[in-house]
Amino acid sequence: MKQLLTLLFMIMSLTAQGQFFKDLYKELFKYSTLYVAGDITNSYEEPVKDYFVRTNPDGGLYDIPEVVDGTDYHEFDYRYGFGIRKLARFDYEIKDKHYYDGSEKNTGLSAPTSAVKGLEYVFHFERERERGEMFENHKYFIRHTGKYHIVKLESRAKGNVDFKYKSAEIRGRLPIGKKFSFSVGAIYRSHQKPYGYNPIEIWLNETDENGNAANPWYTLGFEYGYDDHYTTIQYQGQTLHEWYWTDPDGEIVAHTDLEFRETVFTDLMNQYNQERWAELDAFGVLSPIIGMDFIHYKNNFWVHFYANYLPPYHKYIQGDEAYSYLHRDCWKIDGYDPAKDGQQWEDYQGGLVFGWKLSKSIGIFVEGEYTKFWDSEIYNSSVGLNITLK
Amino acid sequence: MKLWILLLILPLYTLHGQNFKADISIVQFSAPFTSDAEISLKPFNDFHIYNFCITEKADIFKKEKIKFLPTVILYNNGKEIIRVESDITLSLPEDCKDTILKHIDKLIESKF
Repeated sequence: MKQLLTLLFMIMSLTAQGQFFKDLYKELFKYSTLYVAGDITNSYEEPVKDYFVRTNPDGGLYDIPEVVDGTDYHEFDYRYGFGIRKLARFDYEIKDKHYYDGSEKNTGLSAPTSAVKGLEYVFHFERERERGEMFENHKYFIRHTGKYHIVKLESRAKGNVDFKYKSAEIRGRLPIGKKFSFSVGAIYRSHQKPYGYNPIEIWLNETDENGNAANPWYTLGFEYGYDDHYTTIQYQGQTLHEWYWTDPDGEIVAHTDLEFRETVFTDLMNQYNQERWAELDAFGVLSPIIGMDFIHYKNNFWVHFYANYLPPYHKYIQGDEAYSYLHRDCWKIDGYDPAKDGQQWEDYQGGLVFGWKLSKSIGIFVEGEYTKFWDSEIYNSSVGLNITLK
Repeated sequence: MKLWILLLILPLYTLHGQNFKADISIVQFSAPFTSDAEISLKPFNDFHIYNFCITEKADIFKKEKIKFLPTVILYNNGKEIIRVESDITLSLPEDCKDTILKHIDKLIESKF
């Protein structure tokens, strides 16, 4: 009897577990797509070839020179990646291709409300070669939408533009009717860039007790192993004095100070800034967020309008706040002014998708999205009037 | 000017027209004397659900050409996807719920 009861219990337990895993699979993976994809394209080709002449090694300056093609040629560009996605399209969105390859742009990634309730996600990782350089990109996105809540996590990185972004948000959602919803919550966002802080400008403007430049501009060259050498030139009976510059290998890189400043020095300035900025940790800011969505769809007429507003109550919780966007106005050419208070700001995002098929042969279509986060503005829009001739 | 008025009015008209068919909607058409034969629409709670009674919305019954009571219709964005009607015994088929769920599944799958 005891054995029978144990067996019965085990069967019930396995059945329950089976149902649990079935439900889990349904929630996590039903409708998801696993993919591996890639593409190969021609690399960028310079519109005009760049030639220069080299003195013939067997001759002199006035012998026939050697013409050299100095154009930059790159190997073909390619991209390969893999991922899994379960992200619903709104009814007005059509699938671009018969397959997914990670390059899709869905409104569902930026609109507060999703096309279906429940769990949605995109996990995409790729490597790409562009103009001979290798980059890694990723897009991780996970969202759960219910009647009264939205929870979203996102991480994006685009190697060729050195872009990294992370966000996490939680909102309460209030549906008003079937087409409108309003949401309020909090969002965490990260940014890499320090705002208002220009290290090279501060370094160049540093003065000593006599008011003279503490770091004359040319000393930046010395910092990076360049050196200047005094020379005199006899030209048309005159003696000219000049400084020429050599790189750390002793190769001449500029024949005058002016040439050095206009060429090598510019690169060194940017390198200096990049190095100083790279010393700073990423910033993380917590903000309130208010969103709305209106969506109406019929086969011949659709409108989807969505907006997110982040009011000026931001709080930095990660990174050195002195270099953050909050203190962007505290930086002057002579450094940080601690007496100045941080300046709050407003961020917002909005999008509109509109389509109206006036008849079987005439249609008007408008799509656009605008995002203003910190001092970055990203916008794209398109409009189309289609007339089909029969 | 007329064109602008038309451009404003037409979308508004479209927005307010036939709300019960919006998105994925399940509508049960019934009458007081067939209430025992109705199915529960709870399994479709994630979608828009409506129970219409002939004594209250006779015009909709006429417009939707309801011939049998009860009748359950699945709509998607204004379009009728499937109609499940009762038989002469005034009861809906046993697989009514499963049939509708199967069609909803297809609709959702097409979004991914």
